[in-house]
Amino acid sequence: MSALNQHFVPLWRSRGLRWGLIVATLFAMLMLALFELVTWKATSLLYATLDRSIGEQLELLAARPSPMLPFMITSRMNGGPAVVTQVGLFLPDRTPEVGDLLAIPPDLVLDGRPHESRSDDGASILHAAGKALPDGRILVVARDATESLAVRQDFIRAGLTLAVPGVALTIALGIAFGVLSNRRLRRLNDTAEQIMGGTLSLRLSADVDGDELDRLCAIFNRILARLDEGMAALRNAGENIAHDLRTPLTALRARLERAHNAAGDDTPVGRMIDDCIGNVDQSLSTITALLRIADLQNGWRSTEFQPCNLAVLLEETVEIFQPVAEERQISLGAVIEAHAYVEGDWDLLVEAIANLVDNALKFTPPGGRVDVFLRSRVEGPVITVADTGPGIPPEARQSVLRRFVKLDISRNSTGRGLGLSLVQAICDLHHFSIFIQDNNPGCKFIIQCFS
Amino acid sequence: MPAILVIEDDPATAEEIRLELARHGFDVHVVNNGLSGLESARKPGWSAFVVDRMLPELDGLSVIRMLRAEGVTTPALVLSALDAVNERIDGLRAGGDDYLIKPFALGELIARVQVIIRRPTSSVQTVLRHGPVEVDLVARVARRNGRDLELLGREFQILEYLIRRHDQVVTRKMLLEDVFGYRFELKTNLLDVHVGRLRRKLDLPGEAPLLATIRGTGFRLDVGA
Repeated sequence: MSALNQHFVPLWRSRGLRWGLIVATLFAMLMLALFELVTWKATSLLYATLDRSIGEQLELLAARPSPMLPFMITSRMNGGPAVVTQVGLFLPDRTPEVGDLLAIPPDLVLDGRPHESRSDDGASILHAAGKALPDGRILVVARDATESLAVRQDFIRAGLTLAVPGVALTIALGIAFGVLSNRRLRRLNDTAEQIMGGTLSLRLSADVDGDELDRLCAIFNRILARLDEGMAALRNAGENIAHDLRTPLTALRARLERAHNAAGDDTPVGRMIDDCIGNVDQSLSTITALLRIADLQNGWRSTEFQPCNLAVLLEETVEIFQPVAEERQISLGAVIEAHAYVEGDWDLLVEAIANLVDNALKFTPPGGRVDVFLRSRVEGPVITVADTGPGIPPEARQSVLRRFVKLDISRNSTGRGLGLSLVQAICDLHHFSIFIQDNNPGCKFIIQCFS
Repeated sequence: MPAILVIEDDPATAEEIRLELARHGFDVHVVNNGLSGLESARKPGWSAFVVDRMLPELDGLSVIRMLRAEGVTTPALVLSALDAVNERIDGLRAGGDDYLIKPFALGELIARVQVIIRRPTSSVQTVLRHGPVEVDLVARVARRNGRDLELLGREFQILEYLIRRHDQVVTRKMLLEDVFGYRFELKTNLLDVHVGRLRRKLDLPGEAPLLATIRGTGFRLDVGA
């Protein structure tokens, strides 16, 4: 059924998937923040150690008597392969005197404290401390920090190898949850459609120890059970009313007929009894129609629908009514612009269309037209029954399809009355919508065979 | 005299049915509950059963179902206060030959009883002939004294329906239901227009009228005489 697809939630709109994505994003952000924190903590610890060692070495060297200094620096340089600290002694004009540090980093503040700065060629990052000695020369101790940057990158790499699968897993879980909950909702939706189609005995599937949705289903099931009971009671009541009313009326009507036969056709009493029979029949047909509307609204199962060829249905109806139209000097035609099938109950659809055509012929004056159209729209077929009768004022169009309404304009004819309510009930049963428009002159009844 | 068994629990209705059937020359026997109805129906000699659907002790449909299971083929007319379409289908499935909704016109009851007693001519025949009228079901041609009537689709179907039940009253309801498939009331005189056209083609001026209107009830094709 087409209505099903409309109610079905597409995956991208599924709550499960959306929550999955939100959680995945939050998870990724949290991971990133965590790694940033860890990396920052680790590198600052590294730098602090580095800086302390630089500062200590600077102080150590600066405390030596200045003539000893070049020798100290040179001997230190030859101390072993593990030396990563560079030291340089510079003349007051910043030219190097001795040491493996060949230039003072350009932006280094010579306050004796460690600073981060770029190497002379700008290629690497240094942590360096420099200080002017009492004799005007400058002593600088530096250490390459590029290595600690690599440590930071290692941290990030390690983090990513964890975070990427983590985020992917969260997204996958989100999708899986979305699909599952969607499938479940779809199943519930299918059941709900069937229930709406009249199978009130169906229940939504719910686990006893289930989640919120299960509990909601359980509540709905309780409501359905009550509704079902109510409907059954109503149906019984309807049947009882029908039975209790029809049984005495059968005897009454038969007696009236017998009385009529005894009185004779053309006597005043005979005519009076004839009127009585007419009245009985009229009230009975009203009750019958009301019970049928109730029956259509409550008792029918749309699950027993079959494909109906609308073109055939309309052409047959027009063919049947053609002699009536001719006798009334009304031109009646069917315009079939498209061949269309709908799922429905053939007899009921025939009843609806025959009622509309019958009505249109009843209200259209001689010389007028009644046309039946079958058109195709993207959403589905559209049936139109158009006449050139007196029309129906806009304010009355809604109510004319409801029970018991009879328009004042044609008091001399039997009102449109319950026939149209039956048409409306049949449309409702099929999930079709029916409305009335101006035909200038006259009116059109438009049935959209889709919801 | 054809004997009819009426199984109806409402005494007033039963009495009216009895009087009306008797007036039309039937020998009527009335019982007021399902069980005695079933018992009486098992006795031979009945021409038809008229069975109310809702009965004390055993409902009407069960009575018919049990009779059919026992091989009793006597035609049965089901009377019912239930008129939902599926109720009617249930009634026919149980083995009822016709289904009449209460309340009904007595003429409708008599017509239907007469029709089920004299079952319509079997559909094996391809040409139906009665009196001057001939209906060729294969060629879809109808003639009166050899004159082609040139009937349109529904007119032909109405004549076929009438000739199968010739010399019997066929009610408006029967024609609307069986020929047009319409089980609802109409505001226009659809049926009369179709029958009127058929009559104009069937009975030319000067010819003896064959298609009689039975006031308040329906029509009859008088060919037997």
